[in-house]
Amino acid sequence: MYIQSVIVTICTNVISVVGLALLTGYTGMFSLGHAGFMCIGAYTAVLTHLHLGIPYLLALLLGGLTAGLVGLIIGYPTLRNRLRGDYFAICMMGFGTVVRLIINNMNNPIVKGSTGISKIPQLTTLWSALFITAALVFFMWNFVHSQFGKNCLAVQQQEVAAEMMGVDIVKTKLISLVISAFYCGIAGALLAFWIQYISPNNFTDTKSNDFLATLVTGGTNSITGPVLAAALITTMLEYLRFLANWRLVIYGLLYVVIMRFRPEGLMGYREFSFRGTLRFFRELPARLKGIREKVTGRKGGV
Amino acid sequence: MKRILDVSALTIRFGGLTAIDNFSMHIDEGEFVGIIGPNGAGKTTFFNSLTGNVTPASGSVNYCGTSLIGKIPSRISQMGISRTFQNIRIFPKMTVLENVCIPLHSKPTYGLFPAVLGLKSAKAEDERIRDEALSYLERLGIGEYRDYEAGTLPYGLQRRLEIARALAAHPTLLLLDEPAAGMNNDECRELVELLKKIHRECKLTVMLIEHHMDVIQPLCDRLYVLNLGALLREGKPGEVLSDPEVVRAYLGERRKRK
Amino acid sequence: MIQILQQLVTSVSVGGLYALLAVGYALIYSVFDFTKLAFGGIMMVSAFAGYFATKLGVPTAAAMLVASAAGVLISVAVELLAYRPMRKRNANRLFLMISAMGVNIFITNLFLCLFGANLRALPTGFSSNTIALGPLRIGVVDLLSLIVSVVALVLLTFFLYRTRAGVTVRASALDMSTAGLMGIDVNRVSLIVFAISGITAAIAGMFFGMKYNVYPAMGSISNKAFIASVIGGLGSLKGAVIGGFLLGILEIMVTAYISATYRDLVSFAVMMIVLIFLPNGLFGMGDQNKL
Repeated sequence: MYIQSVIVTICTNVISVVGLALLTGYTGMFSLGHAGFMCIGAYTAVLTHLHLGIPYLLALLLGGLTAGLVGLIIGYPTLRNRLRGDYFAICMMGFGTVVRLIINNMNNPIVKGSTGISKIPQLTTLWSALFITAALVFFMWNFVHSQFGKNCLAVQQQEVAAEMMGVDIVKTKLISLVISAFYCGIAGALLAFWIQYISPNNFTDTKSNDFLATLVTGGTNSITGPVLAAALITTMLEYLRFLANWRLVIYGLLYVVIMRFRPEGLMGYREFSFRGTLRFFRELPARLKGIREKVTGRKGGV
Repeated sequence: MKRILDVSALTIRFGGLTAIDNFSMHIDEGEFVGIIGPNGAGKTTFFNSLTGNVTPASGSVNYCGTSLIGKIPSRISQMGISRTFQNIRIFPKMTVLENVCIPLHSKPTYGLFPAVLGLKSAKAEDERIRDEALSYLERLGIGEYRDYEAGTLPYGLQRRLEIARALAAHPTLLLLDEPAAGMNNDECRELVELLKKIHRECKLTVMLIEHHMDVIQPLCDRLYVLNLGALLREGKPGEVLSDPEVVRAYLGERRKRK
Repeated sequence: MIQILQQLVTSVSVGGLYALLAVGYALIYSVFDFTKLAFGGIMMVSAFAGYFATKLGVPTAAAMLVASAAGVLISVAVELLAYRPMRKRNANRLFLMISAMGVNIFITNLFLCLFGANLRALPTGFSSNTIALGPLRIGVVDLLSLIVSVVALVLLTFFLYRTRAGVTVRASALDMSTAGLMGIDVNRVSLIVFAISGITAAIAGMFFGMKYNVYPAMGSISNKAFIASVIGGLGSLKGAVIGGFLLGILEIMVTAYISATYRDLVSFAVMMIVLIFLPNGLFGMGDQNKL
């Protein structure tokens, strides 16, 4: 049961991080508010299921779609005027907080404010989580390798040129925001039907930071990188619970160090493949030798 | 002959600075027109105003009878104006081939669902676009670098890549912003031949900003000389370049290449 | 009527502190073209430095100097360790922002782990004193913070417009690479700018500490300052000051007449509305001439 729980948590994190990978890693927009979309997805799915009797899978989809719609509403005014990314970043930061504030203040018997909703039926199973995650990762893989994904990448790398080549900047950014919000919404809903209890405080800035740290570690412009990182980091956090309080300290340092030395992350601009991994290990001795020579050479030079 | 571009009384201001002052010009179908002038004369700003990156304070810009003022760059690109940039703006982390694919699918040629599901039809479409992009690379003589990361190419090849990418946008009017910057004499000669060929084969109308006179002279039908944002002279290269006022404003302060 | 005036006085003093912080954002944005999200952390560390100094019996004015020193030290250290190497490599703006965010998260949570989340009152001895001005009662801290922030802003203006070093900063804000070509030592400019932003963060931190409390999460106040600088227009000093005062007034009024729980919501909503109707804020420049 414990292992299952870890795997389902990994699944929800993989979905969120893959969504964020499109927005941040491909289109190049910075968000620290995606826990807000998760929150919206979770509440929509749970409430429609409990009160309107919407079946599980449909409720998940509804959660994702609502999150996507909210993304559209938030994104349009901030992205419309071709504003700098800074405005978007601060809007998203505010967005996460505002979502939590609003739900906390909805003290009616349906939403239950900061008390949260308990006794949610456990409808998410190990297999449904795995299946949904696999499907969503597959869709994202196809998307980023399609014309749409290439346009996103063009916007990130050279916005002026991309626009001059006919790419509709606003539309491209909006599509990536809506899709990433949709993914986070589904992840939130999936999680809600597994842990059986939600409150606004499940979706704090720490969660948004979890996603960004995972993405940054896994690498921008990669899908497999963030997936691997999500699996690794989630497992690590589960088994290193004593780190809990120091987690954010480590994240902060991680952002700075990775941005300083390897901004593209572990798998930036690359995808994981078994052949590549084999090659890496075959070449490892030679590489280590190279590094050693560099180090000793530098020592000799000084 | 059809009039492609008609600019009249264009004025552009940045705060208190008048970058372009009451400038009028026109270009007919199939023409090859040069814009010259000392640094800071407003040449690139003029291009930026045509492509929607800068909004003019007054004046009109008509392209094939439609006003371009207030249109966004992507729209203008789809109307058939394409350009290269003075300070190279390729997509550095994409491959050379992917760079040229972007204008071909800037409006994706299939929907979101075929893309997400990875349908065969979408893959076939991608393949078709790659083939077309490759044809542009080959026309510019850089087909062999198709799989290189664009940012790792040498400077001269990056300029060629920009031209290939601009052509892939299927332009009617091509704007070239100093394509020969930083090139030596041999490379300049090569570039002239290349541009001649492209102009002829693609039936393009071209506007060229350039400082190298040995690129301007063999290519351009007409020249506009800008100085401090205002039109100084207009005419055939031979006449304009020997005009004493032009020489004083422009060539005088700049030693001519051998 | 008197009540409204009373609120207005409070809000102007909060606005002054927002303005001070917002100017820090604007300064760095105008020179380096990126939003440094690490202000909150620096503000918090300076406030802690001031707090510990006061605890050791240092008088408040001197504690302010200690806080400023701490602010300058950490601000410059972050610039040297994190940002400068990245700028040298011509890193993506996005990466700079993530790094700044990382600094903030690191500092905030390090202090949280070391000192706990509890609130610490800055023992100044005059925190709760008030001065009667006719029917109005003005807090000494409010008055002091308003005076100090106005003086700091005037000094900053003087520095930027009347000294040689100030001119180099303004030149770099217009065009960093040209300024570099003209012989301006861009690295020195960056140290000046980060030092100034450290001082403004420290002053604001000390006064927030006196007004409310000192605690690791107090840095989130700087998000408000960022909103203020967005409302004023990113990169505009004048806009930052005016945005700061406007936001201060708005927040106190919302707290007084609606509810404190909606304060943050209203601030963000106002920012969104400003962005919709005035995409470059009140005084921001468009970036069309940066092409």
